[in-house]
Amino acid sequence: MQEFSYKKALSLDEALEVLAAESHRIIAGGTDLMLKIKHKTAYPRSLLDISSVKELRYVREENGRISIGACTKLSDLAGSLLCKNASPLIFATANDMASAEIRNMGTVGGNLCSARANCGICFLPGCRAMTADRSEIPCRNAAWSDLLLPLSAYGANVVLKNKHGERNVMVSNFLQEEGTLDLKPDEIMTEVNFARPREGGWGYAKLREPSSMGFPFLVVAAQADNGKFNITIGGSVGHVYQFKQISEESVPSIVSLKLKFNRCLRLSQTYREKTAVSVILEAMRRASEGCCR
Amino acid sequence: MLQMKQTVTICINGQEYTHEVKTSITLLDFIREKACLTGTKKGCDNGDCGSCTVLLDGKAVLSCMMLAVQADGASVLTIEGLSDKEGLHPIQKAFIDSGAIQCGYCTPGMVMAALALLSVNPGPTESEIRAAMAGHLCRCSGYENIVKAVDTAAKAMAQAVYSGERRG
Amino acid sequence: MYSVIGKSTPLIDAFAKVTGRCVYGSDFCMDGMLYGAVLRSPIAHGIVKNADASHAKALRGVRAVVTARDMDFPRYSVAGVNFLDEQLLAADKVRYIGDEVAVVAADDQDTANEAVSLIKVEYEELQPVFDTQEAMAEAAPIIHERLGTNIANEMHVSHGDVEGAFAKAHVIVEGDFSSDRIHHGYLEPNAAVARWSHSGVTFWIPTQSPVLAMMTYAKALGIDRNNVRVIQLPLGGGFGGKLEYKLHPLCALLSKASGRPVKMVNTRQDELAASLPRMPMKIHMALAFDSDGVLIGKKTGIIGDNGAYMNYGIGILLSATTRSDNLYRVKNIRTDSFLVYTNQMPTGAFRGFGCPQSHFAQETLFDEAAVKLGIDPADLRLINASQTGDITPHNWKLGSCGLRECIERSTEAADWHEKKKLLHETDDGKWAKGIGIASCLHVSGNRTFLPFFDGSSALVKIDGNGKIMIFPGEVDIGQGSKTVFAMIASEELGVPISWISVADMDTDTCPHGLGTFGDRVTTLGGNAVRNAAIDARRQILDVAAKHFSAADSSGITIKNGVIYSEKGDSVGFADIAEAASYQKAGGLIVGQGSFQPSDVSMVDPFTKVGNISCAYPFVTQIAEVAVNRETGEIKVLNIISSHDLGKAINPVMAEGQIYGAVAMGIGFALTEGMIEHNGAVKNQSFKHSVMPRMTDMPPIKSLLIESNDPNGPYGAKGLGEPALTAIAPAIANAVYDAVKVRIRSLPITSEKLLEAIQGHTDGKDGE
Repeated sequence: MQEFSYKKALSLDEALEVLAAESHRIIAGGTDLMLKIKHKTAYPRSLLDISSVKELRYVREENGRISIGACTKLSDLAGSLLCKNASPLIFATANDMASAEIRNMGTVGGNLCSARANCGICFLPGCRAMTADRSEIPCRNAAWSDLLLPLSAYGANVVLKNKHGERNVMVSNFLQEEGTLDLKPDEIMTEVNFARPREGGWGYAKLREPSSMGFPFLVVAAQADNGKFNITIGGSVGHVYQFKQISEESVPSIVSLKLKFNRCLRLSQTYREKTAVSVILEAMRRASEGCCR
Repeated sequence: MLQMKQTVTICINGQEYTHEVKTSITLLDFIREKACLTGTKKGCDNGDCGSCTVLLDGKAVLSCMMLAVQADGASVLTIEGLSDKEGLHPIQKAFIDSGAIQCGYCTPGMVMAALALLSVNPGPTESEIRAAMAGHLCRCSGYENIVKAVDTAAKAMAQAVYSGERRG
Repeated sequence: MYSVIGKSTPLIDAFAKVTGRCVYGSDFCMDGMLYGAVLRSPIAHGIVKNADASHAKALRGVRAVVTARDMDFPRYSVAGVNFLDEQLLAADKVRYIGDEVAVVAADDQDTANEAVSLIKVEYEELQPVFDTQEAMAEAAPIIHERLGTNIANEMHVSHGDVEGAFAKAHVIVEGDFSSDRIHHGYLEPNAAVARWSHSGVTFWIPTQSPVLAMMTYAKALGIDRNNVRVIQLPLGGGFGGKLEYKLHPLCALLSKASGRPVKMVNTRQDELAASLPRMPMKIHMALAFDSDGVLIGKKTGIIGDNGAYMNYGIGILLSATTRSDNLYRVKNIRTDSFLVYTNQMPTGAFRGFGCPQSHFAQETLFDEAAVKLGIDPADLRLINASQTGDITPHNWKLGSCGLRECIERSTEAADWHEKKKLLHETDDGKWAKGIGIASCLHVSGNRTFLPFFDGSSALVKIDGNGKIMIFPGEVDIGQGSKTVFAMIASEELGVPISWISVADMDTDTCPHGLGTFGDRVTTLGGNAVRNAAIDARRQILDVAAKHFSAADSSGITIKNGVIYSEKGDSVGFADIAEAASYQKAGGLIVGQGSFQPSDVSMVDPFTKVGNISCAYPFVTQIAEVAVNRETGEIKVLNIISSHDLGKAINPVMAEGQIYGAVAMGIGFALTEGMIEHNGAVKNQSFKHSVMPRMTDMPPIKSLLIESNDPNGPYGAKGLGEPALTAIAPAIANAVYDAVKVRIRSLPITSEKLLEAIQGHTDGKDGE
């Protein structure tokens, strides 16, 4: 295993001070970073642990906006009544992610910030050791984290703070074209927030392989909107796509013209093109029936 | 000068273990090699199989996916800490009686996961049991008797609470 | 009838396992031990030109480095017939990505791993060959030059008049079938602790066969087997993958080089890239039926992928070549099989041992014939099923055969005809449902596994306190054999199970037993323990007779630890044991027992004819599935699994075996397989090498059918292996019933199925 120094911050201010002085790799739940360290796709020199920064762990509503602290555990989301009632897509996603143990460890911020450099081949934090094929170059442009999809569908933004101030970035812009994150070395993501979504009319469907603890190769959130649908598509695709006011009839042409599928180890691009229509229509059907998942 | 080693104190099963360790050592390796408690297993070291599950401050976590330094000052419960002077935990008894153990390698992780589940959901349905323990691989048993054991344990623990016995 | 046999009994070693106190092979530690690591070849085929270990040796904390240059490694084979194709380290060539080139021992694992990365090896890359058919061709690169060909072995079996049968057949079905390398998926990785001393080497290993390990590692290390001691530790799963494995003798080598005990443990990647997975096979099979549905002819061609080294390849090929012929009463058979070297991971023994591959072909074709003949697939099997008393063309003597009952009880439990109608009626356009059936058989011990003998022995020791310890020649790999042995001893000795413990094996003290494979343990090991217990009982009763002043022991009984005379006087078992011990000046009562299956033989080297086992278990499984026509996703809805196991000695554990085998079968059918590209395994973690999880499992109903085999202890036959074999074809047949397409290559992924469904609905022949 590699060697690095380690520091634990107990407050946000403390963490920001440390970052202002020197660049550190942030670790919270660690379920992404630990894989990167074990498989030598990340070589941090110093770790800053923010998992104990309690002030960043909350799910609350204020003035019609839902705010979720970046250090909120996925299990907090999966068990939050507010989340279930106000943001059913996030609730459904959180309950579907990984395993109970990983949900106890992983955080919202960690999930979003690991969206960069997810390998489209192994569908994970770029790990050649898990694919072993030296002719493959781990794709650095896959943009995937489970929470990216529902947060994009809800038009959320992330709050990024450094010692000197804060700024807001739309979730859909947080992951940039080149595959990098709009996150400076001295910044910490402190929360995501969004206007409380309209109640009802949400549907969510996915193509996951294998079905248990598998990778969400295609995930679709649909919102019924005056006879048409607003859809958000993510997974092993070029980036998170959003289409507004789509009819069911236009789905096949959207799939063939607009969606770019990344290469994957288990499901071919052809297969995902073929099945995407079915998954999107299923999400739309659930949105119409108001049964979410 | 980068500080690559730290002194870490972790309370495991009620006893404190203090060691100077590399910052890179996982909680799992700390438990197995420093505290010499080998009941917690290393099935994959990749977060996939659940055999390294322990309770950290009451929550089930994968110890192979955590650094020991992250658990400094925390309280950990491993399989060895489950039975006490009064004997086996009802979950352990249920596993034995339900034929839920074959090679036994996944058993410590399964038992800790069941403990975590029943502490927040004392009366889970079969599908809730399966969903909560989906992170645990078993190659011997097909899971059938494990699910039965957790269900049996839940009922026994509820009964014990009802009749005022220990370990509700 | 019995006081213990047939009653569900918890495992006698469950307490240690459930409290985390069971020390598995990978947990075992020793003072002063070093940690080892392996340098593996990054290329699939090449000549080793040079190995420079100087930087590795210079690293602080490194205590030994061994490369192939450092010594002459003996050539050996695990179970090869004539050709010794292995050496512990790649001396001349590397033959697959993962081939062991060097080993390092250091003070800690991190240092050992770092040292491995510092060893510089120069290779001259050679053209590799990955496909078996390419490897068989004239111009193929030769992997073992001394053999001169990549065809490691071939078999040609012929019975009756197969051309005649096909000429007059009413229906012929044929097809090409294939499956991939599959890892066993045991949760505990392979591990070893070895200590080399002046008197030899001691291994502490989680092994399925300490005796075979001793023999093979002695050959591999070039030492006398009398200087090898193998101490078997509890295993975290085996399934055939913890027989002989190079990690163990390599560990010994490091101990010799360093003068210290050494521990080595595989990572999960080592397992998924450099272990001994299931042999991929390409099978072409044709079945000929007459108009009554009688199977009159069977033609098969098999190509088995050995990988880079032989291991148990010949035995696996033999099993695939011959066993499935005995399931039905077919007389005209022709099979041609080839075992081929490729530059890929060497393959090895894995539950089923060739039967899952061969039965996938046969049971799918049976279903295709049922469709063409217009006969129900269950009825077609009943028409052809082997029966008790049959002697097959392979000379298999079926002393007990519950196949018909398995088929009848399964279809009854599944409500076969009504269920099929119901499933078709619930087709909603998107989700189609279907039901499928398949059968299989297996052996209970395999005489051909090794030439020198087959059989089992045990010692039952009673100490002065009346406590009983069994020393078996077989290993408990989690299937519960210790408990079965304890139950047998309890039954024969009349004492509570809690008085009985069963030792792990140690080649210094245990009987010369072959170990756990070939579904042999209950039948062969159980008989040996029974005989040993009976022998011990005889000795106890002789002493009791003296105590009762009886003429002889004929009227004396033992029940629940109390010994009763004919007249009704009683004395404690422990008291008699103590008396017996004093009579022998503190000696022990040791019952010895052995069992050699009678009327079994090696196969004829050419015809492959031979009754290889003393008892044959039979299985029938029914699967219900739902298929998503738009995505090809398959959900398994229900499994009915019936097993003719002769006698269920411990029903709860027999069912446990069945549930586990069904899970493994679902994985084999739908999700498992190494994804190989240019000799590299691309899915090297559980994330991508997908085994069924708790949430993937359907309800399973298991039916235990007791045909009471005359040779098995209390009638018991094997169970663990055939429980897996019929699942994949049952699921494949259910898929056909749902969407009328056949997939003949495993795993049946959603992608393969969707392509076939869409090809089919486009009017093309989806098959």
